[in-house]
Amino acid sequence: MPSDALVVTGAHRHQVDLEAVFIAHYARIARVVARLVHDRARAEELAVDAFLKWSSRGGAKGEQAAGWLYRTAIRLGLDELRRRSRRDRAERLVTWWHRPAPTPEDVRAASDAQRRVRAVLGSLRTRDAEMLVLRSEDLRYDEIAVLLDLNPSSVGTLLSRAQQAFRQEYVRRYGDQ
Amino acid sequence: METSDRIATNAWIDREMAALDPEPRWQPDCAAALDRFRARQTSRVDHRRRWTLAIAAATVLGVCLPAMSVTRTFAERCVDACVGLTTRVTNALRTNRTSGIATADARQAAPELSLHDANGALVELSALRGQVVVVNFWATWCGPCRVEMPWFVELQERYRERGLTMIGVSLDDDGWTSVRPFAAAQHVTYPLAIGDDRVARAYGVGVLPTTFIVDRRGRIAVAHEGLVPKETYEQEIAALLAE
Repeated sequence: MPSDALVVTGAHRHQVDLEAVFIAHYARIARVVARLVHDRARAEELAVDAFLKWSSRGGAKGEQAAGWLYRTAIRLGLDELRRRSRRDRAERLVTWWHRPAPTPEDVRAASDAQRRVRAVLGSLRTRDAEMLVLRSEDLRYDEIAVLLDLNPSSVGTLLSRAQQAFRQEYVRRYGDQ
Repeated sequence: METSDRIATNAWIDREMAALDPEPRWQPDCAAALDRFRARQTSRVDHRRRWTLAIAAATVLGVCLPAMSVTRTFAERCVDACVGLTTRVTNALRTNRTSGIATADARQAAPELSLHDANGALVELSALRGQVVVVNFWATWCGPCRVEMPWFVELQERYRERGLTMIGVSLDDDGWTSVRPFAAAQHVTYPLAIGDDRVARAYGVGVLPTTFIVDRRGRIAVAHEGLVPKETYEQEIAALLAE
C-alpha cells in the first residue's frame, strides 16, 4: 500500500504534467480562440475552460492532449460565437421599434470584415470551421491532421470542401464581393 | 481554368480569414492564466466535494424519511387530497355518468352475496330483504374508494334507522391482511367482507369503485362505476328508502 508521501508525490507529479501541457499550448490556443471571439479576455477565459475540462477528464497526454485541447477550445469559441449571434438576433427583434439611430461606430462594426467572417464561420459545420481556423493559424496539413484526429492524406480534400462551404455561405449572405 | 479558380478562391479565403488575425503585439498572459487555472481547479474540487455531500445527505434523507410513519401518513394524506381534488374537478367538468334509479320494472334481482365479515359472521344479501342495501366494491389501493368510505360511514349512521345497510366488498388480493388495519385506520363502522373473482363476475365489476344500491325487494335499483358525488348517493338512498 503506498504511503501518504508517495500518494502526494504522485498527485503532485500529475499536476506538474498538467501545468507543463498548459504552458506549452495555452498561448497558441488562446490566440486561436481569439480568432472566433472578438473579446480577448473572453478568449483567454474560454482557453482556460478548455484546459479545465481536459484536466477534469484525467488529462490525456502527448499529441492526444494537444488535439483534444485545440478541438475543445475551438468548439467553445464556436459555441460562444453562435450564442452571441442568437442573442444579437433576439435583441434586434425586441428593440426594433425603438432602436436608437446607429452610431458611426455601429455602422463601422456592422460592415466589419471580422464580423462577417465570424458570422459565416458560426454557420458552418463545426469540422469545417475547425479546419479553416487552424489553417488560418498557419498550421501545416500534418499538424491539422494530428489536432483534428484525421488521416493526413484526407486533410487537403476536407480543407478544400470547407473552403467551398465558406465561400458559398459568404456569397449567400453578402453577395459575390 | 478550374485550378486557377480554386487558387483564386483560396487566396480570397486566406484574405478574409486574415481579418481574424489577432494583433501581433498581443500575447496571452500565460502566467495569469495559469493562476486562474489553478484557482478554478481548486474551486472545482471544493464544488465537487459539496455536491457529493449534498447528494449523500439527500440519499440519507430519501431513505430515512419514508421510513418514518409521520411522513408516510403525510404523504398518504397528500395523495388523498390530490385524488379528492381531481375527482371533484373531473365531476364538475364531465357529464353526469350516473345511471339514476331504474324503474321498478327494469330492475334485476341482485346476485346472492354470501361472505364473512371481519369477525367471521356471515353477511348474506338475501337476509337483508326489506332493507335498502348499498353494496360497494372497493380495494385499499384504490384512491377514489378511500374518498367514498367516510361518506358511506356517515350515510350509514344517518339512515340506519330508516332501513339502510352498507356492505363493503374488498377485492384486495391479500384479503384481511390489508383490509383489517385499513378499516381500523379509516374507522369504518359498516360490515366489510372479502370478495373474490366469482362475486366480482356475478356483479360484473370491471372498475373500482363500483357501487350498487339494492332496493327493499332485493333488486338492483342503481349501479355506479367510479366515484360519484356524495349528494347523488344520498338522494338515491333517500328515494329508495321512501319507496
